[in-house]
Amino acid sequence: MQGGFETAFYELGLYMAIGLLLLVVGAIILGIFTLPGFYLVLFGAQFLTRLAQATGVRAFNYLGLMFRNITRNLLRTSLTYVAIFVLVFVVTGIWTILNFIDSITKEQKNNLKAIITEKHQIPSQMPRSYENQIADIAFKLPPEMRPKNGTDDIMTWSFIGGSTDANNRSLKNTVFFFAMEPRKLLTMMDGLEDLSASEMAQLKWAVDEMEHNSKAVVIGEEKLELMEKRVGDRIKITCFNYPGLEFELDIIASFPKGSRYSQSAVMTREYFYRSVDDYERKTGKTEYSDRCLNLIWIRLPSTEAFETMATEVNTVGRFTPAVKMETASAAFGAFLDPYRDIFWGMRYVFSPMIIIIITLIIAIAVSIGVRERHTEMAVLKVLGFKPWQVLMLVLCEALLVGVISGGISTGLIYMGIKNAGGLPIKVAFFPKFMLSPVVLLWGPMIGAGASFVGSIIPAWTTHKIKAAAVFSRVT
Amino acid sequence: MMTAVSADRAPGLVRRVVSFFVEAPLVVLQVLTALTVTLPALRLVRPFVCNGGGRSWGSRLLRLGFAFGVSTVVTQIQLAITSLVMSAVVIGFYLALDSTARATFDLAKFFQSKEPSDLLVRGVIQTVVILLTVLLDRPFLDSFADLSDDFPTLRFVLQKRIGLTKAIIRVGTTMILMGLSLMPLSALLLALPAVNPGEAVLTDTVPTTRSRLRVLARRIGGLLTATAMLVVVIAFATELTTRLNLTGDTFYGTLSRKLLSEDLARRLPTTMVEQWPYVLLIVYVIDLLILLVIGKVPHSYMIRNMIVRWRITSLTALAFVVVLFMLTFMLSFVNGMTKLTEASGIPGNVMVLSEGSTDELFSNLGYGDVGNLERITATEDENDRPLPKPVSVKTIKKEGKTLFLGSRETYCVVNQVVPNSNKRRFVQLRIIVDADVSSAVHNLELMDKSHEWFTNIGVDSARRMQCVVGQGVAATLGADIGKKSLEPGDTFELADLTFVVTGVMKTEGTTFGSEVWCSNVNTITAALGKKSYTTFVVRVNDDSEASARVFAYHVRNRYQTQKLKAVPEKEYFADLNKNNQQTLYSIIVFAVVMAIGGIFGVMNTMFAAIAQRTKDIGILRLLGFKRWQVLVSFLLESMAMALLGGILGVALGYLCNGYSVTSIASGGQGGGKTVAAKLVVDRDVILIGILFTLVMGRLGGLVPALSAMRLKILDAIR
Repeated sequence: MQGGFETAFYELGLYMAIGLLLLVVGAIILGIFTLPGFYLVLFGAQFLTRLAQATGVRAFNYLGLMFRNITRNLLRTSLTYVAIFVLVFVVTGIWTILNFIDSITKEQKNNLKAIITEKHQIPSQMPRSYENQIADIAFKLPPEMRPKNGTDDIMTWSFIGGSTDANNRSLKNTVFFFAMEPRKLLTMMDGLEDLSASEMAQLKWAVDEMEHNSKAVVIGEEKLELMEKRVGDRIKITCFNYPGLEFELDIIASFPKGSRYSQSAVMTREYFYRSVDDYERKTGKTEYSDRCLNLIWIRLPSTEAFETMATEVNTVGRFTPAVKMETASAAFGAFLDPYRDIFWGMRYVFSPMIIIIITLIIAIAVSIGVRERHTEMAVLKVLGFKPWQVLMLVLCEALLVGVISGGISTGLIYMGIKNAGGLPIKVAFFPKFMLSPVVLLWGPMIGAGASFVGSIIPAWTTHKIKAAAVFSRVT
Repeated sequence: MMTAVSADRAPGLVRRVVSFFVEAPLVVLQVLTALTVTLPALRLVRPFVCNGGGRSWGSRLLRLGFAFGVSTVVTQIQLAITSLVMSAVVIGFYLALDSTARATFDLAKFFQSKEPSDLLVRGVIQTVVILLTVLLDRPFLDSFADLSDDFPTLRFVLQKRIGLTKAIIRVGTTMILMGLSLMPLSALLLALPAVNPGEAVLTDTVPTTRSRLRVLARRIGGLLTATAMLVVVIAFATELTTRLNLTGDTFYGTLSRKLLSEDLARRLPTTMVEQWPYVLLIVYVIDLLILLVIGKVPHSYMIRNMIVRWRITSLTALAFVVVLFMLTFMLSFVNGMTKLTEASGIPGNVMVLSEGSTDELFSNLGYGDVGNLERITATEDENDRPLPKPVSVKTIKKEGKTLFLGSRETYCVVNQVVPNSNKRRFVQLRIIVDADVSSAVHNLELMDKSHEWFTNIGVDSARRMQCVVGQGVAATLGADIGKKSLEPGDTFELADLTFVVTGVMKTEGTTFGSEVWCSNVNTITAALGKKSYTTFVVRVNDDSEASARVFAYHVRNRYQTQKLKAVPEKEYFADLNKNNQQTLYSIIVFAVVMAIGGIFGVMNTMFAAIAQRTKDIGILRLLGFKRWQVLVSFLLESMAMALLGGILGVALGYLCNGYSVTSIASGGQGGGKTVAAKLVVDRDVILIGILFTLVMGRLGGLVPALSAMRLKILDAIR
């Protein structure tokens, strides 16, 4: 420290103050996001129950009693609700990832997709002549086993990494392209079902355009934002996995935000192959054309077709370097193998532990409630309530809080993440995870399950309350 | 510090700043902004509404319309001014702290930027504006309480609006109190008169005074004594931690360096930046000891209450057990990965890859590209100043010959069919030219003398590829043949070739544990189609990291034969740790969410305890115990519950220590290495667990304890 007044500690203090401010802001936002919806549902349901009580059905009286008990100590109910809300949020996030991973690694029986890659090495690098050889094998299969849509069921991918500023490469100016035949975008890519009709129409237009202009590219909107580019811009990409290649590209369209490809980019295979040919003609080297094909996709009508073709492709000596054919799900499974322990932890440690925490929070709240309401339970018994009815009252109150909390939590998460275009957690090569509507069931189910387990013991204690014993203590 | 802001953009900026508040990305902030916008308008309308008695309805409506018209314009002006002032203050502060942002800051872009730091600062600005507007308008809103009954609907709306303002203020105050609970309570108690000079904390009663000077003196006195206490406790904790001589790069040190600006981190004591959990823990322990000493309410009363309510106490503690077990488990993973990547890099090594490659996997060095690289010498540093001693590649003597410590390597990831299954997995293979040189460069030895390096011929008499394997992969492949680990003589299939193990490398705690090494012979290079190296690793002559940096710079910028990428090996592995840092951030988010569960659990318990013991509190006060003593008693109770569960949770987490997990070490630009890391529950993880427990106990305990403290004697015993 060189003389003068050192302000480091004051600055640290200010850092802390900002941290505190953020905490306050975060809590207020959490409260505003979560509590009004909860109260709306709670008081709304209570109001409807009150109206329904006019019908004279006893069950509604019983329900009304439950709502009154829940709203009696709003602070406790709110604390319990917010805790369940955030915990269900995390479980939903974890299950969304696991659900997606399970779905892509699950074998499909019909209409299955297979991947052909270099047998031994990662990254797979094959000569581009392999595409024709693979197509030959596919179309020599018995008619019922051949790809139904001819060559439209075969797609090749070449990965091209490049930067708009080769000297100062950063995440911002780096972009990875799939070089492929444009029309295969419509026939072979997964996840297009998420696009709306107008987005699909725009994609079709872009594909037509790419068929005519080989320099045309489509880049995901999020990637474009990161690169600070827009549709209509022309970019120059210096390739780093094929040193010496440069591409002049016209951005003609973008994959919409929220779609699976919002961070991806697609260029035409024609332009890439032409650039490779030009480079090899100039330099006299043939190194690129021998390794510029990374993946071949093929869609086959059945498992039998896949097995027959795989036997042909995997025959030793047929291809040099050797290739292997496997189902897309098996290939994803192999890629995700290094993450298996992490997924195992998420599935069998994190999720159950969080559900246990939810159960404990409910158990604490219900136990406190039961302890405070011993006299009230005794009065209920004196009024003629049977022990199982008192037990059910406590159990159902807990279930109501659990189901409403879980339901609102997953409902808001579903809407929020749907609008954000997926859960933005990067695992392996997946930048985002999409939610399926089945998520909406998870919250109420977790809430109901945790409430039941958490409240069964406190509820059972009410079952054993003896009115005489309670009143003998009342002074 | 705002010199980087272009002056000619000023008019556009005003528009941008104002439109930012209208086009807020967050719906909640948008709604709040809209609500606050109505407040100044109401202020102007007030006289027309409140003094409207006696006028005709038509006249009053006209006046009302006119007032709203004028007030709308005034509202926009007020919002613009408030926003600009607050933006200037917050952005100025942001720039003062962050030297990197200061150098490149562009105000026009800032209001459109999607960078997380900019979004955060904008969120802070907007929230401060909203909170300020709400706070400043509260007295004004309160004055509407005497509205005439002429406008019942307006009155109803205003009452609800006042209720909302009060609720926001109450939540804000509670949250500020929760945040303050992270400060040492001893200092907090001393500071309370600064907030409320009439509040009796250290004494049961405070003599009332009308003198503003005395009130001010009380406030300043409270603030000064609290600051002094805080400084003393923190200084003591920092000094004590410094004397512990804790060393090593830790995952939590990386975190604090990320959060603080580079400039500030450099100026603060190293211990506070690198070993902050220890400093905080000592602060909390001192505070806890002070509270235990000064607390007058018998601790047996607290313990008895916990025992009487054993069910709820156990449930609360159990919630802490689960949270802390999870935290320990997750941190042990990050700790293990950090230690693994750190141990893998050797300070004096430089890794040379092909230009533009993001990872070894994508590097492609022609056999001739690194031809004379080991013979070059760096004589100048990064600033072209002559070095006191030239940096060159280290040499060793072998069988009378001098060998340069430059390891030529081809790194591949090979797809292997798992024996007796239809699954596949990836095996990392490193093809090297000279085992003696490569083992010396990477400081690797074999397990014992019965193990051998493969020969330079690389194949045995049965044409099997000879190889040595790391301990991790030896265990994985060993399981295929029903062994705990592969041993010399064992074989496995890879790339349609049979490999025979000649030795197992001592790779405990390094990424090399997951690798198979073999000789660079045609059998394997032809099978994989690899006709080039991927990596060239050299050891500099003095084994130092500084020389490695100089040599890497020299190769990158002054080596003319071929454009190459050269990085010190330590930096390369630090980069591989990036993925791990992202995991750490995810764990923090995860831990915070879990903590909310624990905190609310303890809050529920403590509020219920206070509700049940209201009479006890009254009697305690009647017996002469002071309000702050009641506060301390309840806070200690919540912290005892938290500690009970927390220590058990950490102990349970300790059982995970040493377990092996497979993961990926990656720099996030593709590539990466599959590694077999061990879960490491060491002193750091345990202390962070205990610190987290104390933080949760304090956060969950202070607000209920304050509510207990504020109970009035008569109300309590009634």
